[in-house]
Amino acid sequence: MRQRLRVFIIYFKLLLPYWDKSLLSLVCVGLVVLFSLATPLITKVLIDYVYPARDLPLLSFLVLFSLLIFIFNVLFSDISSYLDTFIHQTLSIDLRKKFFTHLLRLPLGFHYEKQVGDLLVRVTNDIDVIVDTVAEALPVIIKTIMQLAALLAICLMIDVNLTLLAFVGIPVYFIQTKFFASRFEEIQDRTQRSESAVYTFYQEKMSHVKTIKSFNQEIYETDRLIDKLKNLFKLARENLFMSLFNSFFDASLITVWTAFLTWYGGYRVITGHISIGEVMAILMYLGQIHQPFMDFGTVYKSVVKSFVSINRLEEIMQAEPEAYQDTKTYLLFDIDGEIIFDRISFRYPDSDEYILKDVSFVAPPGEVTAICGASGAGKSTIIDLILRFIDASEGTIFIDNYGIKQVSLMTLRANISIVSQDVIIFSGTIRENLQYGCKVVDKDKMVGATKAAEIHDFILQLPKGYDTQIGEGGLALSGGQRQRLSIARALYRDVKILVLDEATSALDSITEAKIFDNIKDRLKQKTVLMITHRPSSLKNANKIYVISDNKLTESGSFDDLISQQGEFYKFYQAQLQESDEQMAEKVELLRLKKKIAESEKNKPSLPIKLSNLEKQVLHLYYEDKKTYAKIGQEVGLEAYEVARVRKSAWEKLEQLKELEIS
Amino acid sequence: MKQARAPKASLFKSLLDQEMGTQAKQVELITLLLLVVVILVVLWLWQWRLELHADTGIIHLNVFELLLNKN
Repeated sequence: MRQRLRVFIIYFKLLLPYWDKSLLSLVCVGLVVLFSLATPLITKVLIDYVYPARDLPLLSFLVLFSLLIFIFNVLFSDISSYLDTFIHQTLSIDLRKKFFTHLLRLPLGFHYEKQVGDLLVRVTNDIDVIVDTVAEALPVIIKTIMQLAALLAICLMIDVNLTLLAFVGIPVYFIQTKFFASRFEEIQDRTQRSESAVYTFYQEKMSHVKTIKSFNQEIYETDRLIDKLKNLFKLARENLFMSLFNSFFDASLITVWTAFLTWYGGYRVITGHISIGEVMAILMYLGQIHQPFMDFGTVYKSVVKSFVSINRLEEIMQAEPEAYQDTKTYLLFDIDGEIIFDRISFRYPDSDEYILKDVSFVAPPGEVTAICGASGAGKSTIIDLILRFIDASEGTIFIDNYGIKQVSLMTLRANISIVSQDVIIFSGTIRENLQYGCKVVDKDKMVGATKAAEIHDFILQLPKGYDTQIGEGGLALSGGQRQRLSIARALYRDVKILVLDEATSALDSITEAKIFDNIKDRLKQKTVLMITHRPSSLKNANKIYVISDNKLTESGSFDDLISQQGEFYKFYQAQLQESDEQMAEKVELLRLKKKIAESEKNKPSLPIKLSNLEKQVLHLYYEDKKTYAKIGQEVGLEAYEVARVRKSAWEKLEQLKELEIS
Repeated sequence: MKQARAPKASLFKSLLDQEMGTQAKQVELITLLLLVVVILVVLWLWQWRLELHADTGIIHLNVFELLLNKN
């Protein structure tokens, strides 16, 4: 009970900003209730006086009076509907805004744990249910109470006996409504869970269409979806059956009760206690009671359903957001951009294994500091720590001598630009994507940034130039174009700290060199932290830190590290070899592809065929130049499995070549 | 020669184009005016005495008294 009272208090708080419109809507509803009382009373006067007395002027007057009431009734009813709709829409926008802002401010850890589909259901369905309840159900409940009170009062005035008997039925009606409502609540809870599962399924599968296709799992996934939908439809049927039972009980109760009252009303007329007009008026009022009762039953069920939704929303709203605007923190403005990692260790709270252990380094302003190391060494964790997506378990990170935990999160992130390997392009124009996160628009600066990132000429070739739509439903950009756009976006943002996380992985060495040449002057005014394993990129760094086994093992300039012939030297040699091998393989692959295309023309049924997965892996490896780990993420395999697929594909190509030669 | 008809500004479209907050304020104002009209109409009807011929003679009632009259 206390829980429900708390929910109602929440609902009234939600309505509070619209108190003026709610009040006006209630006044309108009150008037509509009063107007609806008039018609049975007019009927009573017509039957009991006007017709027997043959009073034509009064008949005309009462008809005109009815018309006037009808007009007012319609006007006030429409105004009330308009105001309720206004509240509904505005509240819907407000709630969504509040929820979405809160979601975006929750730490990354929260988003990793939650399924996107589940959040989608909460942001759409659950908010809809709550808004429907607050903006529609609550006014209906108040209207129903007003209507029942008015009907009771007027019926009591006409005939106490008949009225008391008529209203005895109300508790019976409430008992059965409550009985069904508890069942509806339980079905609703299961339905919401099932809907979340379906949304999550859709979201997951639509984001990994490539993997599903490459494994030929289209039918399997469709069957899985059907199973989930069947479960959802089963719940919908359960809901329908329950509604049918409920309607049947509602209708039966009301019909039996009305029949009994008609008999008793007739009895009262025959025995001379009331007039025919009076019994007609009471029966008409009882007819009017039917609708509020039905409405009340419906909204009661809707309110009960909303208890489930409000709990689901509260679960998210109570999650602690990141401290964006903590007034006790320092604001980072006009910084030099020096980054200091002071004995930083990091491990996830529920794990004993350290991702980073006792890492210390300095990234001075005006220099390019590179971090390199094998996959899984903890390089990306460094970026997450600087941006405070996660907090260090031990040690402190300083920016310009301010510990970043004491710095306002908003100003911290406002000073850092990141270009990552996974470039995210939002739906919109190229210009909008470049301006993302910038309040001031400077066209010259934008062109300067795109020229430096070697993408300006490409943009100009497009029919709409900077206004070309990209992202979903727009122009599809290649991996390299996306990465160059992302570099331009970071340069345009022009902040002191630039983080390059494998930022040139999709670019060829020549374009990469050109870009570094273009931006070398700009980089002198920034602190650049570069995370890479590309030999060509590492040469651009002033100082390199090598991470191995989650610790910093070596540091120094490129030449120093090479001359030391330590960890970095081995790493560099391996990368160089891989790079040379890749180049040689690419040349060979292009040659082979050409040959095979020719032979497929002449011999359509070749004995050896490459599977879709093999073709995809080959493409990602040679054309998009992605690492095994990255390809693995895309196609849903472990890195070693990707290596195996690539090897088998390559062997098939060799066999095809031999066949062709023979 | 038939001339192309100039596009007519529809009331429905102009209602939809209006900013919702402003529109709601206007509706509030109209509602308040209507409430004043209702009060005036009720006061006028209250004054208006209807003449009824009962067994006891002629009686004068306003419409509200007539509707709520038990006999």
